[in-house]
Amino acid sequence: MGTVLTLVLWVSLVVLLLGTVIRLVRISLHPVERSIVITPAPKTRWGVLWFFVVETVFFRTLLKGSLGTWLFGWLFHVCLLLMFLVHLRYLSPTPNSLTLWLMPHSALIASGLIVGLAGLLVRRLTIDRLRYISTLSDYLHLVLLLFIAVGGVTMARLGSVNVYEVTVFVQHVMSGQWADLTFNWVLATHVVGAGLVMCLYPFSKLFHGPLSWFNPTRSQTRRIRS
Amino acid sequence: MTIQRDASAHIKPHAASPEVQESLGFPSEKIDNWHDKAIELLGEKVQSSRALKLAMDACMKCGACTDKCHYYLGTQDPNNMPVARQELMRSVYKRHYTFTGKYMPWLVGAKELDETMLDRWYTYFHQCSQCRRCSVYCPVGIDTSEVSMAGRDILASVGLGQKYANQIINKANTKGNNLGLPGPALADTLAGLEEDVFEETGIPVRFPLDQHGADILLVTPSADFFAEPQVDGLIGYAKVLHQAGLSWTLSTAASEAANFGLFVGSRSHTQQLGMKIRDAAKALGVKRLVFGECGHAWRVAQNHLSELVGGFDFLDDNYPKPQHIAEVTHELLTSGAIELDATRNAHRRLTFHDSCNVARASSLGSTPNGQFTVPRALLKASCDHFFDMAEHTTKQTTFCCGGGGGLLTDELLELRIKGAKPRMDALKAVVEQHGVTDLVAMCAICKSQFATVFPEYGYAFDQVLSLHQVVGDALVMTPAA
Amino acid sequence: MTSPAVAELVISGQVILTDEDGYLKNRDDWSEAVAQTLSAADGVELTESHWEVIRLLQEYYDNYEIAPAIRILTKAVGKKLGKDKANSRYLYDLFPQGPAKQACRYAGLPKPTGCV
Ligand code: SF4
Ligand code: SF4
Repeated sequence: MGTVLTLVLWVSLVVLLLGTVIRLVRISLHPVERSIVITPAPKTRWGVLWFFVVETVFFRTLLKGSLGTWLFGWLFHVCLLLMFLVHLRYLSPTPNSLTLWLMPHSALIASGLIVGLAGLLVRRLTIDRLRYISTLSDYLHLVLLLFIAVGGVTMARLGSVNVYEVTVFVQHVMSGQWADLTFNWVLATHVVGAGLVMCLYPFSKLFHGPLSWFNPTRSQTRRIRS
Repeated sequence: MTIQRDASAHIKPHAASPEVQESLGFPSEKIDNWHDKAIELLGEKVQSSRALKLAMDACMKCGACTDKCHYYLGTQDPNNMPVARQELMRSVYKRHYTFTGKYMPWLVGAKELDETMLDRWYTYFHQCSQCRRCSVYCPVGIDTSEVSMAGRDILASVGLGQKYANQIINKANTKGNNLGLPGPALADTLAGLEEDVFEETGIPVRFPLDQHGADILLVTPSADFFAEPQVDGLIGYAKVLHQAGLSWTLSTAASEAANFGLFVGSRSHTQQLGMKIRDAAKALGVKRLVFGECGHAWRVAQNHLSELVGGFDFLDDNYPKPQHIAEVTHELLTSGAIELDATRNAHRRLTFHDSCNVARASSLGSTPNGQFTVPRALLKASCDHFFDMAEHTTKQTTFCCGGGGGLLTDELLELRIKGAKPRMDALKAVVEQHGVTDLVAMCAICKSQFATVFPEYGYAFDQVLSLHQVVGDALVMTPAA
Repeated sequence: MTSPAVAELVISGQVILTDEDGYLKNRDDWSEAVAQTLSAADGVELTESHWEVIRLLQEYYDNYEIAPAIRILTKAVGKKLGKDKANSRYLYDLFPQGPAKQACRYAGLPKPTGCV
């Protein structure tokens, strides 16, 4: 199993990184034909930067647009970030202090993650406007993420995975060596699922975050006469 | 509010006649290989526009925009949800230009551009007034107007142009203005206005036409010459310019500020129409270029004109760029060059409708948010009773009047009436709470639209006023010596 | 896309073409009977006041190739029918769909288009 998962992780990492670069380069090559900035817009580049900082941290536009989606969406993204930090523990036997501080709260973080995703899914299923605009892939993205999260929680609950062994495995993978791992169904699906998300990320709507920074409706400054 | 499928599927604009299509360089009727041509054009358009590419790629279907469009709110037709409007184009784009769309269309909702889809394009790209209210709420900033503009251009290019907008572009190209008002009629109309104003005020306010050597060229929508309440706005500009002692002129050749090239997504037509203004300004030797009350004209003037027509280097260094009449009046007011007496509008209780293209695509004056504060400052100086409508219906989040973007045509009346509903609801609230008597607008389209739909909502057609009508009524004028 | 580009009107056996909004394709086809048929379809009975307006429009159109601006029309109406009628409210009473458009249609003139 170690060999397969090593391969999965290598491929996904390469796809993720290369895909991201390709996607960013390609979008920046699409010309901005004319000024279509939504006004009032910031006057300076710094102003635009500040807009995106606030936007990226708080999803301010979404908050204005839909409280429900913001609530679940923001919860999900924040917990995803925290969960990512928790997973850094597998990178070294001596995790950084932030990770160490977060680790005891991972159950809470996981709950947030699942509540966020489930909330988004329920909204998509129950609000007729959202159902109308949703395609199969829109549901599957959420289901996939939920599946990964539930798998992680299951492992944590059952304590069926040897954390030490996983840490050694991940370190090997990251340093480019083949590694071994005791077979575990839940762990296998968890890792394969995460690999799939990494591969999908640059080539699907999951890439909406980085793309939004390129939108001429937001990234242009206002032309103003002095 | 629940969606009602196909609730407005039956509302479509008339098709452009073969003659009009040809005059604009489009095929006279639907071409045989429309499918391939449309797909090819779609690819080219996405390739050449980042905004369109993002509309095709970045939507996460969050749904934040779904209840923000006045046409959706008024019709409940789900295809009028901005994301669904985009999806009409996106699903076809995916089918032809993405891997998943080509091989797994069922997964991502990719669709073929068949007759039914083509009909939907024609219908729903003409149920978007390109007001961009949805974009304000979109977390990734997708601009639905770019989608409907591109869609209309593709449709026209395969022979399915829309009558109203294309006929108007043709008229503006051949006759100088959207109405097709010939020079002698314009001169006669202006002479009549001079008579009227003199009769009313005893002051010889002039409406100069084609005056060489004037300082200012005023370019205004041709509706200002023709219809009410637009003409009352024109009278207001003339009074202000007269009182301030400024030398100005109108132009027969540039007797139109509006630029419908924008609505149909055609860069070349936007450019051609803009060029006429530049040429007229140059020929008349003016120092300043001032635009009258027209929303999208101002958007084009401020954002695109200079780039499209190669700059205005011949204008005075102090006024190197086009100005808006509201800015000019506001400057005159703050510098003390003119005086407004609010008591003259004591019989009025006013509210203000922000036009989408001024609010969300332009600025006014030199202060941030000037597009909101300048007209309000003018109104408050002109009338003691001013009441804003609800916050989420004004300023950056203003609702469209329901007739913008090339939809101000009779066969779309049902859509226009329904699309006006969100604005009418907001108006009703201030009418009931503050006894508002009139709605003030600063866009020719908004004014005509309200004059038309007001009776449907229990108001009189003349309860919409031009911004400069109110200003002109309050203006303190020096009697002739 | 589906609406017909032309429609027709049959008046005493004669076929008269109109565009999809009911405006005459050809001005020369106009007769008082045309105006009556069109107005009857709207449930409007043409009075002498209506005819005055229709004639004013036609006269102006003959001179200037366009219908008169609203101010010109109200002033002309005022001169003919009295000062109290020199306003657009009066014209709207006569032609509730808007004086410019409805009256032009009865008068056999093309529809004024633009931001009006
Ligand atoms: S641009 Fe305006 S009319 Fe068009 S979809 Fe967005 S909100 Fe609706
Ligand atoms: S708000 Fe933007 S991202 Fe969300 S559904 Fe609408 S268009 Fe898509």
